[in-house]
Amino acid sequence: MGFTEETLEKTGQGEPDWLRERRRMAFAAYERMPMPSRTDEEWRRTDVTGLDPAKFATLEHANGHRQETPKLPAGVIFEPLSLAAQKHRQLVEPLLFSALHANRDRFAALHAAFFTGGNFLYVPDGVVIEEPILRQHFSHEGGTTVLPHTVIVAGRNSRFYYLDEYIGEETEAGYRSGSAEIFVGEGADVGYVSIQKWGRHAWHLADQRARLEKDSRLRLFNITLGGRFSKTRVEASLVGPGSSAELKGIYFASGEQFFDFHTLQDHQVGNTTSDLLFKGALQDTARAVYAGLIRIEKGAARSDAYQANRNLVLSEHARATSIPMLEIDNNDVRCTHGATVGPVDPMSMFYLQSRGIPATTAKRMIVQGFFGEVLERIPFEQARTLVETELEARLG
Amino acid sequence: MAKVRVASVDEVPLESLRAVRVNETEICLAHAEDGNFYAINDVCTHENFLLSVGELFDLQVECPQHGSRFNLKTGAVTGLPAVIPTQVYPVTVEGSDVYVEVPD
Amino acid sequence: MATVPKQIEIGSDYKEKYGFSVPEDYIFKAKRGLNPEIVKEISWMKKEPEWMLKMRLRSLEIFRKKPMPTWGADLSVIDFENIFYYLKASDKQSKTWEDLPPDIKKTYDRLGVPEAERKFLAGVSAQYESEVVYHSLHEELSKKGVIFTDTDSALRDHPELFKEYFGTIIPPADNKFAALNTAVWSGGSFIYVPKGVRVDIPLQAYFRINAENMGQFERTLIICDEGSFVHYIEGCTAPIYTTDSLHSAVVEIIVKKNARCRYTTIQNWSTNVYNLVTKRALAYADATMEWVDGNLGSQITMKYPSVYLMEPGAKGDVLSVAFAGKGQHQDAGGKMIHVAPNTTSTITSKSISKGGGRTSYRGHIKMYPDAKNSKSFVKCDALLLDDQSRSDTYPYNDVDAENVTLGHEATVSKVSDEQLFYLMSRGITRNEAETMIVNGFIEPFTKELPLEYAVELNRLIQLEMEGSVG
Repeated sequence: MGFTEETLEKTGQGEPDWLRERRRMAFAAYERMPMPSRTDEEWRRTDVTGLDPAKFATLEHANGHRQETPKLPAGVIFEPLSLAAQKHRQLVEPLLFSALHANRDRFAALHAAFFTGGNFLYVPDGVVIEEPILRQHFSHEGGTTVLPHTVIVAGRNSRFYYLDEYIGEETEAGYRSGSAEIFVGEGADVGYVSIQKWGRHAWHLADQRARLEKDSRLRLFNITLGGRFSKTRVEASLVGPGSSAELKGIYFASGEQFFDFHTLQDHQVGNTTSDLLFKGALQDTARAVYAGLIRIEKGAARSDAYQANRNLVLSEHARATSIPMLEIDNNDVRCTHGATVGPVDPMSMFYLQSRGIPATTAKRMIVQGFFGEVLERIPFEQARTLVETELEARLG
Repeated sequence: MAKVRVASVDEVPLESLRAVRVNETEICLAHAEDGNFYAINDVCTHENFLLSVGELFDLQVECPQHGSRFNLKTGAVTGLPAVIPTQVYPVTVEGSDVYVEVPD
Repeated sequence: MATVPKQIEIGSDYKEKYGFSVPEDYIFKAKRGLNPEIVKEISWMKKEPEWMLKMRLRSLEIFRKKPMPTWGADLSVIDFENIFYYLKASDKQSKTWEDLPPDIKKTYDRLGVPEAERKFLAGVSAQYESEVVYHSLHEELSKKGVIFTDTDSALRDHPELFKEYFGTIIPPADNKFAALNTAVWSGGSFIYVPKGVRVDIPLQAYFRINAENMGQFERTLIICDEGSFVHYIEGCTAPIYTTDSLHSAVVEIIVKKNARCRYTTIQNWSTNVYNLVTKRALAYADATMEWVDGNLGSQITMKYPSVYLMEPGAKGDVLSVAFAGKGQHQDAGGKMIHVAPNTTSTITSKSISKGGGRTSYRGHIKMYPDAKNSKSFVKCDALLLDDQSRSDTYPYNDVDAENVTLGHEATVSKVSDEQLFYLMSRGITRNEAETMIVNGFIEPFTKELPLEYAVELNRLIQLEMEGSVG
């Protein structure tokens, strides 16, 4: 049956006209655009020939799922996205899908046309929220589509933490996203963590994109653990001088999992800093593709950018691709990048085993140590503990 | 083993190629100059382009994108830049129908 | 109206620097343009066997079908119909230094080819236009069974050896420019080193582009039999011309068991040349292939020497230096394809952009499933000398094998103010100081070159640096 106009109209029921119109435009883009081909550069190593989103045309409405929300200071808006679209049009309309464009590819279009649930957070100028905002998104059944969308707007000099946790309870295949647009205002300081734990048969395609104004700071952590197939684009545009983005990733893939990450550090102006580190461990026949780009625009002098992708290969059939790219159009910069793919260091194994530690434990310790460098940078306790617990459970 | 009818003999003239499918497997069906039919995995082991839009040279198929060649009988690489052999599948002709067997 | 002084472009002002631009004097001058008739004419002129004519014609078809690359440098301005695809400077092949046409000797003179190098010229295959005109084998080499000749003669004199390898490493369909080269190739070097033979002197070839709008499509094939060694050097220099030229070479190399081959290039085409070259080598068990590749000239270079590590113990190295001045784009790098276990590779890339020039490193490391216990390390450093210039890095790393180690590191930076300040405080001018820093930066490359080339390279860097504004 596939996604139809009818599904679309039903999805947008009760939403303001402008949003319904946007959904229609995105749906038209979805219908117009072909599936990416194996010969498109971005998809060459990422095989989606087995994916037909139309097979999962039943939408799971994720609105109203559990959330533990701290008491929020006055002026903060934190509401389901469709509700916010109605109540705060002047805030939502200009920003929604302004960082993530529906016509980027077929999957982005599908997400923009049928997003269900997700939240809108607006933190006014100068407001500091000490307690992290934790959000959980569930999928309950196989054969369905779940497309949460998060929009975060950080006012001037605001400061807060946010966690999106994507939890799959089903055991069958389904289509999932979990995208976020983050607008970091002047002088704001935002910590954002996403943990993707969809079911082991899910197809996950998502975009996380941030825009950083003057002197702002973003710490974005992407933790990818779930899904049979997961492709996430993590992108930060540094549009204000003095802004700084820390983009970190942890992924652990086992069984037949396939993970793909595309990252972008887009330095549009000078005196900006970005620091990216994606670390992954691969077990069994898992595969990972990382492709990242640092782009320093012509005028972006005195920019400092770092990008690294490290892959720990734990089994003989796991595979990794790493493509760290630089496009540097200004000479007054410091740019460094690196990529590694390799097995557990035999010397470390030998050291631990010579102290009576069994091989499996030694290996687990090494993997934990490998992730430690990223784990300890997670900006708030709750997320850190959650990720540690998840990793421990998965490392067995 | 799935044995599937993929074409009629007439659909694949002598010295030509045709893309066919058995379940999820993409196959390049070749009617070679020796008069026989051969089935070889359609996806080039070099950069995933399709062999069925390439050319036949004796008992080899050449990938149109970069010129890699594979032996139709064995799947062995006979020309760079591919270096990994590909899969071949048993073909039978029954009457005017061509069947290909693909392992499950 | 007063004459406007002609602007001198960096690296292309040979007339002013060296005072030469050798007059055109050709026995045969083909028509411009590309069609089956031209290809047939080339093949007929060379009295080639039927199989080669067929291969050329098929390659022309492939060339026509293939789209231009959608990545890398902008090649849209190349007008394939406005190029000469074949020129022949003289009918007879010179045998000794004395026999060389005086104008070629003069060209060497003006470039300041060092005395030491001239001694080697007895072993040099010097290319004038697209055909080797001078070729003389050192007697010792000949005695050892080494074949060192131009590729056209090799097809005539060693047809079986030639046919066994030609086009097998880089098939015509590999890419658009490999197809073009296979259709219209002319000249280039052919080397065969028999089992166990070590060639102690580097074999050298000088190429020249000397006619306006002339394309040069040389084809080189090197076969190192088991346990042998050879070092081949190609150095390219070209005088200034007003319209764009195309240079599109193909180099195929086979390095058999335990053999070692080093291929050194100093490319200094004038800055109107499009230099689009495919270079690929196969290294078998415990063999070593080394590409030492310096790109200083040309308007656009696209070149990624590769090594296919086919059997256990094979080793590949690429050492690449690129210098891009005003209007230049050097899109260079290397590829290492690990097919077998216990193979190792390194790529070291040093690039310098100046005066609005652009350097791109493009590389590919591929570890196929059988390449267990292999290692690869890539290091790219880019130096940006001013805020007009640009540098890109595009490394593709695919690991499909167990227990392999792959590392890639890159940095992009400017000349450090501290270094400049230090040197200038000692009375060195800014330009001299920058030149010193650049020469230091590319030292890992320079030190791999024979002395006379190293000297020449340092001098070229100096000339490039002097060409700067301000």
